[in-house]
Amino acid sequence: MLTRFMLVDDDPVSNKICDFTIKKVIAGAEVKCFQYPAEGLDFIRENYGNVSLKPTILILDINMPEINGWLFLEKFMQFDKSVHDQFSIYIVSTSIDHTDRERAKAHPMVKDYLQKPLSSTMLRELFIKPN
Amino acid sequence: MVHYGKTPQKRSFVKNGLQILLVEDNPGDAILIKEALRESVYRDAQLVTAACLSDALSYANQTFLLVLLDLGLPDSEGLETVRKINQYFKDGVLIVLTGLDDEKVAVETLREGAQNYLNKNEIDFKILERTIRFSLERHRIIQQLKSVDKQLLESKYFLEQAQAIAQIGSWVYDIKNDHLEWSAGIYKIFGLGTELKASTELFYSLVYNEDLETLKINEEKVITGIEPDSMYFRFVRQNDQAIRHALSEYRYETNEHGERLKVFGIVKDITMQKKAEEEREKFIKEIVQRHKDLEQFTYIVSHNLRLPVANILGFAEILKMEGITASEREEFIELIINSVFKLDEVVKDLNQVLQIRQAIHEKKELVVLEQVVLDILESIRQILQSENVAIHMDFAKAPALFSIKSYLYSILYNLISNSLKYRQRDLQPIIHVHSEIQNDLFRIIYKDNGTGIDMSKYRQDVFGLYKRFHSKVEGKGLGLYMVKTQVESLGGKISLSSEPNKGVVFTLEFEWTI
Repeated sequence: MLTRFMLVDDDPVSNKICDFTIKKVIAGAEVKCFQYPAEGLDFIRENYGNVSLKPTILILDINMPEINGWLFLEKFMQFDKSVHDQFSIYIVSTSIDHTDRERAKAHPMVKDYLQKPLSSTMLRELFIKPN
Repeated sequence: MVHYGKTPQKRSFVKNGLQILLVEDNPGDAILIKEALRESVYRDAQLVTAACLSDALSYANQTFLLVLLDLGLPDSEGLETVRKINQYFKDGVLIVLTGLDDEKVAVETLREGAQNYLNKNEIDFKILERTIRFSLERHRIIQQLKSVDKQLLESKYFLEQAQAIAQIGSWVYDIKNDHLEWSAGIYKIFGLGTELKASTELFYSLVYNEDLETLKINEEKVITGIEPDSMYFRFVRQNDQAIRHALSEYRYETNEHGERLKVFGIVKDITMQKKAEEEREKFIKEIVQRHKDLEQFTYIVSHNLRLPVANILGFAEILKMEGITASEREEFIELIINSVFKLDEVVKDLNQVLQIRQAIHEKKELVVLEQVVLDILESIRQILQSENVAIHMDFAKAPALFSIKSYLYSILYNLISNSLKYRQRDLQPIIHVHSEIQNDLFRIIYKDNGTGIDMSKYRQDVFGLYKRFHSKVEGKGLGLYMVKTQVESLGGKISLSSEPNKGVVFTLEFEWTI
């Protein structure tokens, strides 16, 4: 089973940790990292418009300069429903502010709110379906 | 001859000591009067006789309730006599005795304070009695009236004082007669001379232009009968042209049919209260802003501390995994160390910021701005030369400020450093700094011709902690935050106006007290 991941986080170190951990925990996972959210949006626009479905897990950071996580979601909402259906979105953050957590959970597009660092246990629980 | 039994005995009306002074030089007339007195109800009065004015005046230390005064005395005549007697016997009732020729003069004496006059040729005890009784009564009434008058004056005075203290004036408008009256307080509030007649035209001429319209509409309401209200307006006080704030409130007097007869109103000068209110609102706004700043500060710092910590934890977990190659291990350890350094940086930045907030204990001195700028330029001489920077300064209008030298140095250094970082590639960097004093504020204005900032987008974040807007240029996003913190810890304010590619204009304002 090919599991596709897209990481959008302005901190390259966070991305590196995430990328490494996912690959270690989930065999054969495909991971794309984006340090600039604008580039992430462009990538979605270009690659998810076709007919072929590519279910992808999007892990999105909140605190980014210029385009933060919320703004990214706003722009993502403007895409077609067919695009929306291909993504499972998880918000990730260093923030311990509970209003951020509530806001994420209340968002219709967001599946869950995760706190950094993403551990292998977290990933196993979320993405490896028990047989 | 005295005959006690001649008339039926009447009750004596002498209350405790009716003293009578009889001033009469003619002994025959004197006897006549004494006899008449003895037959009257005033027979028990204490009678003192004087034959001339100077004699009479020698009794000035005694109190007489009644003075019977002959006008034709050897040492004084007519009105002059009356005046003298009045002077020395102020509390006494004065009855003037006249002969046939003196009646005209006698009438004039009434104006000089005599209560009555008696024609000596017509005296009998009945007439005497009546005249005395009438005069005593008249005197009593006049005293009462004087007392009431005095009380009225005192009341009026109290009211005026109260109005003056409370800075209130009162007015009355008689609707039917279209007559307006102002109390002294109104004249005082408006700075008008009391000789001026109260009128709505005069009032309107004082009112501040912008408020005139609303006021006139309200005046209509007052007369046509919409419920009483209060009006706020500004006016120009006439004696010093100061702009003052006023509040007017009023109520009506109606007759039994509910018709409005009069309007009673007050005008209160509320300039002091208005100013206090404005100060308070300004203060509250500042506090709210400071609170927001603090919240933001906390949020940002916690994020910037947590991020490296999260990364360290992430790597630590990875290092525990199996199947990590040696080179991977090395790489991760390197990254952990980097994160630790980043963490340390944030802690150091935090330290610096907190130190600024606290260090007002540093000594203040008179700082000469030109010298500060020259020192900065000296320290970066090489860069200035290689970048061909032009700096114009003009501190002639306000050369020095009583403040902390190191802060001013740091502030200007940061601004200049930013100007160099964010210069426009093809333009020679030009910087202008000048100072001025305006409205009790010491202002420093700093301009450059660099890339500027899009204020429509970033107004909120410009002085924010770790906020950056040009990802291509190096920087932590700390510079302007530090500048703002330092300016504020000196008790000043900083504002920025800017447009993309049009450079920046920073305005620093400090309190100016000398």
